Amino acid sequence: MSIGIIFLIISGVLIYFGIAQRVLDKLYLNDITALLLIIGFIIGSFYNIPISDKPLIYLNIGGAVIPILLAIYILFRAGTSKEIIRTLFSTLLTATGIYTVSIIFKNYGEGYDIIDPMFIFALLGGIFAYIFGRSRRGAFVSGVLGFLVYDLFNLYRVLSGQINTHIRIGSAGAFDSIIISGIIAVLLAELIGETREKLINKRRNNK
Amino acid sequence: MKNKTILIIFILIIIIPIQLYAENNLALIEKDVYKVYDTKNNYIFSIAMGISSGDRYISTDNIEYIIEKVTNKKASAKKIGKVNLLANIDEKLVLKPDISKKTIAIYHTHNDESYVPGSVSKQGYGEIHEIGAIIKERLEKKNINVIHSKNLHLPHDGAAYERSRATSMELTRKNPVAIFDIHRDAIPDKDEYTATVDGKKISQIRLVIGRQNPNYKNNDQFARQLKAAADKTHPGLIKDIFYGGGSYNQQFNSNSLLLEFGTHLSDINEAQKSAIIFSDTIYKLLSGGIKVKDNQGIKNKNSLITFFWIIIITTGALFAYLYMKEGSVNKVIERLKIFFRKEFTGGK
Repeated sequence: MSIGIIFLIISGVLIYFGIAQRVLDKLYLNDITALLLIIGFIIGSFYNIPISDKPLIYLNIGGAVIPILLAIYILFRAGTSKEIIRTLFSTLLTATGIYTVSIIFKNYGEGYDIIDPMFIFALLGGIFAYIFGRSRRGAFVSGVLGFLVYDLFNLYRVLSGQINTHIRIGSAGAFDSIIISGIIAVLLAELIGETREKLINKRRNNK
Repeated sequence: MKNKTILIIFILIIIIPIQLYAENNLALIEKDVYKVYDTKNNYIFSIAMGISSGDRYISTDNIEYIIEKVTNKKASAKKIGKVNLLANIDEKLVLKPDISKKTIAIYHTHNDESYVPGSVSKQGYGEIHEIGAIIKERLEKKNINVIHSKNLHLPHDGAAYERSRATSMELTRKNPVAIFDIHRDAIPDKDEYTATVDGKKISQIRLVIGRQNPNYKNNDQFARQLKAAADKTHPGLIKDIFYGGGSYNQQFNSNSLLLEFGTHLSDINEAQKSAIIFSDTIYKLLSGGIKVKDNQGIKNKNSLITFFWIIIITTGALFAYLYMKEGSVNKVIERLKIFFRKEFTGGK
């Protein structure tokens, strides 16, 4: 491997985990918890929890169990019942959005790409989750759980005999779309939310 | 009223995709085929993949083209000329002929792909798995370890590569010398893939490389060596090399390729024959039976050295960043002390 590629990978990974930590900080978790969660994502990537053999279903600890538990914790810790219902609603919409795109662009990944295929679904999940979830918490929860629900859509299709496949939830570990879409959703909430706030304040000040 | 509207929108959002899915399944796969012509309007090739300007192509007889314009499933390509596949191979990337401890990994992103006369898309394990199985069996007889992943990534939709990403990562962890994602094409003309090699009628193999991946150069050089090797021993086996948009999960391994064994209309027996010849070519390439270049390669740097470089570069970059921020070495040390005290003792 050339030094250039090594350098690129290191900076990519550092930036990714740096952003991940910032995002977790924004979700009212302290530095230590955020760091421990990131370590959990990475180490957990190597372990799976088998759910069933036929059809094959498993959950990856780093890519699914930890982020899902975190999303559920965030959802129930600070939310009012109204916020919980709104977030669950936006989770379902996010999942449907991802599902729709995967069907409309059925050849995605075969030269029909606009954005790197590694990020497209995570990005879509993030965008949908931000649009429907709005708040940072809502966006993160919808991004993470939205992807889980999308996997559950496929599980339903397996169990009802429509398709024959394996359901491996969060199998790409720390780089799975479950985590990436949660992170992108919060970043969008941050970026768009703060810009809007600033613009509104500016307008108020001008009046 | 507002709630009712939201409910209606919600129901529509749920129903529309289910409808779309049903319609999509009826659609002919062949409608997604692109035809490529040169600037004098001579036909070059077809492919059931997206094509965009900047994509490249190396034909059976090693003529290189670059796609310039794409309109309505028709693309125009500029001829660059005949290429010597091994002309620009980096010495470090020449495959080292040593079969000991070598592993080949095979998986299928589109598990359903099959050939006529039966259904060309089978639920679960399609006939494409048989092609993978032949390569495994053939290479294992020659003492090369082959991991043939049985992971299913269906449905065959836009998220299939998203699902197979984990498989590609999982296989990369086993440190294989090469990873093949085995498919079959979906162009409507079987003859375009049919050839006679070693006196046998076979379905040719197309090598596909994603241009959007950090291992692009390495994958390209591997493909060139593979085609050059096949051209020497079994000319016509490798139909061509297509460099298209996307990454095909090739970013994880330096010798990662997508292979198309014929098209859905090809005879599976012909595809199986090409799998056998392909396995022999791979074996010869790895065992030094085919000299792709006079220089037989420098030993691959072992992973420990790579790991060492990663640590050095990371530490160096971190230190440089802190130095720029703090202005002196003492301040950097002080800052690191504070960091460790705060992070690992909770600031006490």
